[in-house]
Amino acid sequence: MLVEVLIYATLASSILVPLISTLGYERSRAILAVSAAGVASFIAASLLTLAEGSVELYGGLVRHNTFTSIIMLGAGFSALIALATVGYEGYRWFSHPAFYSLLPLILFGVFYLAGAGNVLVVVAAWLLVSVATYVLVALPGDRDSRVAAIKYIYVGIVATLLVALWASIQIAVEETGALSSATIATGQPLIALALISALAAFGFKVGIVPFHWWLPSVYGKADGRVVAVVAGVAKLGFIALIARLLLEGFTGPPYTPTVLAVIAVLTMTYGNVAALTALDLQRLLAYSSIAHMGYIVVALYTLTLAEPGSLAYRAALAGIALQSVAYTLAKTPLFLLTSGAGRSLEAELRGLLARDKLSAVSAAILLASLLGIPPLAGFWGKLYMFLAVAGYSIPLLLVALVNSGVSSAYYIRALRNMTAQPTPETREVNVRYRVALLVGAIGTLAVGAVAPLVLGLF
Amino acid sequence: MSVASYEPFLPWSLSWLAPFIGATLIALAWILRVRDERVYGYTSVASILVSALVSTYAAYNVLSRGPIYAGGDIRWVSWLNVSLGTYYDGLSSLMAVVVSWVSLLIAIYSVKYMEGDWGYGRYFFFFTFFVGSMQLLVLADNLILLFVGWEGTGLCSYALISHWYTDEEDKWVGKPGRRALGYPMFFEPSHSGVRAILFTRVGDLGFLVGIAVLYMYTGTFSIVELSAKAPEWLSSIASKGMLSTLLLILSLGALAKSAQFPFQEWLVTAMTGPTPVSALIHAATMVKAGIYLFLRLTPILLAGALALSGTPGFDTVVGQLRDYFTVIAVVGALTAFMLATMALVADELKLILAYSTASQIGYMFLGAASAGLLVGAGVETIAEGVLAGFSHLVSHAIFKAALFLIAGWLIHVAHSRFIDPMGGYAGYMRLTALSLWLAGLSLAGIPPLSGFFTKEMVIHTAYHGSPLISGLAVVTAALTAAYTLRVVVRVLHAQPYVKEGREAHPHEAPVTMLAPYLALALASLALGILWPLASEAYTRMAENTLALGVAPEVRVEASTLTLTTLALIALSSLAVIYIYLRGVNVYSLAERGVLSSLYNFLYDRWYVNPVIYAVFLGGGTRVSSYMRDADLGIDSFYHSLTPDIASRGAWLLRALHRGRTEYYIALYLVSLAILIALVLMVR
Repeated sequence: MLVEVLIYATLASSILVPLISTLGYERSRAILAVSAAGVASFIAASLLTLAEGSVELYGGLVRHNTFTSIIMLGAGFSALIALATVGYEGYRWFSHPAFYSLLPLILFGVFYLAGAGNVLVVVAAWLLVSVATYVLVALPGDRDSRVAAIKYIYVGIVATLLVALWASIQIAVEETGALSSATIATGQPLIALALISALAAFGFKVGIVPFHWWLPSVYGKADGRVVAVVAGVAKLGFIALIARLLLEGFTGPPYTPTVLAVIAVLTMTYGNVAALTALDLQRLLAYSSIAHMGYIVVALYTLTLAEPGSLAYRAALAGIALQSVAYTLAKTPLFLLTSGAGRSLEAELRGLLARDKLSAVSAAILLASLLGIPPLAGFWGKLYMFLAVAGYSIPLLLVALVNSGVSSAYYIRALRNMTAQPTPETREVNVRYRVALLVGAIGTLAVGAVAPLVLGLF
Repeated sequence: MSVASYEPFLPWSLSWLAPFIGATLIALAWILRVRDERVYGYTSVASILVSALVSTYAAYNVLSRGPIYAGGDIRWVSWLNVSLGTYYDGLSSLMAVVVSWVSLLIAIYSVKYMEGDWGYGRYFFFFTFFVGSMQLLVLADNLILLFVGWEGTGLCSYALISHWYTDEEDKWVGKPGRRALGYPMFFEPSHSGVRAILFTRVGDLGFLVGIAVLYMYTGTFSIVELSAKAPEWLSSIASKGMLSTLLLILSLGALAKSAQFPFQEWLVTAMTGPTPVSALIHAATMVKAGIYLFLRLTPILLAGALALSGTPGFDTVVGQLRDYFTVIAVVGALTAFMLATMALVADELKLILAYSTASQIGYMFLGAASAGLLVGAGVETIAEGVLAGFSHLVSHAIFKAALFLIAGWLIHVAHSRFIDPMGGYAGYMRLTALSLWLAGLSLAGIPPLSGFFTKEMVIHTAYHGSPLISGLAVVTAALTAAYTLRVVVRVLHAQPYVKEGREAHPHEAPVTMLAPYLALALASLALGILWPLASEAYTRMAENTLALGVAPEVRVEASTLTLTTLALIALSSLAVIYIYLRGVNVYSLAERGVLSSLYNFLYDRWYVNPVIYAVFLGGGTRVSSYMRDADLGIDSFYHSLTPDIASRGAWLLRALHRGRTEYYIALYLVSLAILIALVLMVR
């Protein structure tokens, strides 16, 4: 199957890179080229999956549909942007050529993560992507990144244990590893434990309250370039996985929607309030990531309540997909910017408009998309998600709307800082980062333009 | 009364349309920067002449053939069923005739009076617009159109009162520097304009509420239809006990417009406007709008009540109507008395005339309301009351306009608005003196001038309604004669109190100014002498008026009441003539003691103005400052409190992330444990 071939090509590129390096050509341009080829191959695989609609591999171990393909596409484009922006900078790192090898590897893992049809596949893909990201965070070699990586690893170990716990309970109860409609199955007393473990583990990875403690430290402190990959590429795989667990209908314990709703409210509020006074762009983006996951949990809540195939269900799915794409298109270039120009809104980024109009305008578009201003991509994601929940819980909808409103405070402040008078420390952005911002902005606009048509795909 | 077919819109609507067209032309001329004053003046006069001719022709037709309903098929606001209809019946056509001819004469006077004024074009624009609005008000067939005219007159009144808005001191009203209860009692034109519009606004609110309620009950604004449905809405509103309240609220507009207590203050300070404006708007026409509305309403109410006789709702309706009319009658009589006392001590010529206007309008309200006091007594009684009020309205319009126009000339001659520098003018301006005597005697109510006949009608009707109130009216008649003769004698025959600054050779007025007021004064005499003819016309008018339709005999008997009143008037007139011709310095009497307090009390208009300012302006200012404090509170909530709380919240949440990994793991596991516990408890 062509999809399989393309995905193996991605894996191949990931293995080829260290091979080239070992053979003594570590300075060769071929490393970047091979890495890029791997990413391109992943994108091609996603496109193909999207075109085919539904793809089943390995007798049901991997199952992709429109939802997962869209998310994978988003991840792929972000990876491409990140790779293109980093360019040859990674060659200077002590860890070279790890970056160029891990990037396609993460994508390879995302493919299986997003399409997991079996508990064991989930565990395997989870481990692959997790370890890859743990290492990735440390790659730039500066102290902050290494510290962040260690924190990430430590907390991640606990999460991995919980995944194993969940997997074992799931297999024990279901007597099959297959993830199907009765995923988090009913009735057994152990199921509560399984549910919570799953929530804790996956929640850790995507950063929802109360499992988010590591996120501001890691996203906020590590080098922007690697955070861009962790936040913009790897995370998407986990989002797709969580949503997939609720796909085709949810028949878990009846208190699950309430739990999800509470988590959603806490996450949104926490993320938005904490970001209010952030003047460090990277921190701001970290907290904003938490908040955005909160919105997605709102859509997950809807998925647990709505009938599969109903308008609300489809809208929630479309919303998650669009929101993820919008999120990654915005976050990746912005995290890259914190590395490329600077992270302080008061110093290096202040008055960016005067120094570098293109960057500032593109960054503005990306921030606006995160805020949810029509007709940008971020607006449509939120719109579908909130519309879907409107039929099931007005209080939750209101909290989500209020939170969107509250978030405007810090986004607009960031924008205002960027358009203020420049300081002596304001830097012009390196051309590759500028291009990354531009591509992200164009992508956001393009996705925003076609977003209304997306609902029909679900 | 639905009309099978309507008369054509033109030419019948020209009565009110022509002045509007004139005003538009004047505005155009102003935009095109036409400098020649005559263009403005002549256009105004021409358009008002057209209005006068059409009104006269219509009145003639109405009195001989019956009401004319024109243009009722032209829908203006279709969803509210409001048409551009013009309704000529006895009342409205005669009123239109009076309004248009008096306006014409005053317009001719204005052409000369306002010569060289820096706001000449503006003056004539508002003047003409006013006449159109007034005619519209009189002739409108529905309450909405009437209200449009009503507001139009209010707007022009404001504009014309503050015509000299640059506020030079000689244009003020009141003694500069005089204060009463701490509040200034001198008013500039710009201030007076605002007062006029604000005082009448309060009334207009009540008027609008009343119109809306009537619409709610009947689904129509048309006056004719309201009259036809009167029994129904009268009984439904009365059955809720709200009839008198509703009518009072509705009448607030009329009372405010006609400067009855407690709204009379605006009329007083409206004297800052040019004298022809005072003559037209504040004597002859606009202030009459209120009493005109009342005259229009009274037959509808009383005839409607009569139609209910025999039915169960009759007594409730009658009782509440009687309450309403009693209030109006008392207000009218009270205003008449109050303002007459004020006129006794006033020393500004136009102010005396202004007080007199409000006082006489009180008479008109009294006359019409007295019919209401006898509700249930039959249509003839209603007609008598309406005729008493209306005939006095006509009579007053004529002689008061004349008095104001004369005052305009006298003030010009004396270079002062106060009567102290005026005196002994009779020898220098004979025709003016003649006009002043004629008009003054008419105001005083001395036969054979028209004022006598009409005032007697009012007093008689009032007596039939309530002897007590009519007693007040009789006393007021004596006071009226007193203050009128005071002015006439002081200005024309006695020596002036202040001799400096007098023009060396006072002379007669120019023809275009003299002719109008002479004509008016002679008309007042003619109306009196030809009273039988006039009363015939009034009878015919009543016959053709909406909801009346009877032809009562209008006559003045030589009853005890008439003779008593005449005697009192004669006594007070003679006393005043004697006092002033003998040169008694009345001011010195009022310098000490009780008379001094009384003098100040009356001079400062019973302190009504300071009280209104203290209560409403003072109270309003206090409310405003409370609101401002509340607003500051809300403001600080948004701009101080909320950001503060949000920032602290943010800091708090961020402080939880200390950066120590073991801390994170611990929190993670704790959260996990809590969650498991909760879930297990729920199960």
